[in-house]
Amino acid sequence: MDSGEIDRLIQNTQRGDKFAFATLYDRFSPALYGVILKIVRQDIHIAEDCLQDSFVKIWKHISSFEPQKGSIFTWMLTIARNTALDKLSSLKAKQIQSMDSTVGIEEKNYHSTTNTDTIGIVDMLKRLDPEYQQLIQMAYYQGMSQSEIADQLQIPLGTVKTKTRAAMQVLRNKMK
Amino acid sequence: MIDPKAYIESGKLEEYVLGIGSTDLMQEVECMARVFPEIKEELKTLQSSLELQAESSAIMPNPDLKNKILQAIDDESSNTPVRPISKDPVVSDNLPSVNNNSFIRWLLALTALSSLFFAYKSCNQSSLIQNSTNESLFRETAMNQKADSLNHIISTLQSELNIIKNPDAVAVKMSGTKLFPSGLATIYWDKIKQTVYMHPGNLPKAPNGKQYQLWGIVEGKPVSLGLVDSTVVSIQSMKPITNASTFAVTLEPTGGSVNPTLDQMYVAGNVAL
Repeated sequence: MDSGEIDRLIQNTQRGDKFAFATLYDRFSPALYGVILKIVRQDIHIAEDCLQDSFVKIWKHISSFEPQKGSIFTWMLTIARNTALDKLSSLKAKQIQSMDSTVGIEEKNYHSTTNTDTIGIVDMLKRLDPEYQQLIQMAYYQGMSQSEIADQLQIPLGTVKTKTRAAMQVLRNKMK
Repeated sequence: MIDPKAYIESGKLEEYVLGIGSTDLMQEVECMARVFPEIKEELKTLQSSLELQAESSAIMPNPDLKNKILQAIDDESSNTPVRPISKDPVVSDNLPSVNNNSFIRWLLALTALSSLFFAYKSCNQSSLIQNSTNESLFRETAMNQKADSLNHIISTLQSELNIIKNPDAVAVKMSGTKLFPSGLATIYWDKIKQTVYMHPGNLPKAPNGKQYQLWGIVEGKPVSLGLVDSTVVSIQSMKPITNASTFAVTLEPTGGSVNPTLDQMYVAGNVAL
């Protein structure tokens, strides 16, 4: 699917064309679903909810998509990431209220690694230096700010900033 | 003066694309990207690397989920999405005089200059004055919005001008039928690239539950070229077609029809041989 075709699908979706929207779903849902699964630690039930909420938001707000600010894919990824992070923090808040549930999250976390490994995807992140991998994991998939990362890893904020940039540069250069 | 190269190396762009920056930082980076093309380019590259990372870990969702989601948007359908900025009066008011090239060019130059000015001013404010008061923050936001809408107008005008100026495109005038005798809409059709653009002209806003649909008549048979947004008066991209003798627009139920409702034809026009 070339960019002209995607532009046309966006315009038609903005006009209320559900077929165009369904085609956009086919094109982008696997990537969005992959990101959501990472954020919600492979909990399929939560991930499906998040994917649905994300696409309803995409449908409702596609009129506010501004191509000058970035691609439709990046725009959709932002919506999916925010939806999943919001969902996770609201679930955590609920779980803290009911004492014994933190175990649940740990358990799912354990499941996750097995799941992705079985599927056997060549994940670019996994080919990154473990230290860089961890930084992108914490920032992008866990939504932690750089000062939160510095606190947790007990390293200076300046180091977090330098290393995050270095990690993104490695990822950027892998594209070429 | 800000050095774009130093800005790229500051690490702010990475914070922006990872979505971990403050709201102020997000605004600042968007501003800088508008003013400096090299910053915009770097931002794009970083964003594409995250896109590629997402593609590399893509997982096919359960196929049943698609229908569930389409069902969910059906329930939302009463508020069909509409592009709000395209309704901007500046765009629609100037379109009829679009043939007046020098005027358009003049307008483009003027809007380009003023939007650059606004964008640069607002960036300077956001990066240099750290402790801005609420009032200046408010003004800055207003200027950002102004710059955004000017940018949008420029890009709309530029792309419309390109479509009209395209030497390979034929313009097909569609005039009103008995149903709507004063009707006028135009197709810009590039037979080589097969692209079809439509200017909805003076089609009235489609009533609730209805939408206009464009058809190309190919060897006597109607082929749907997509749905028309009658709430904006700007050129729209339609489905591509290689061959057509006639173009026509009918009013159909929302979502369009498989075959045109012929007694609901509003405008039609033949392609000159």
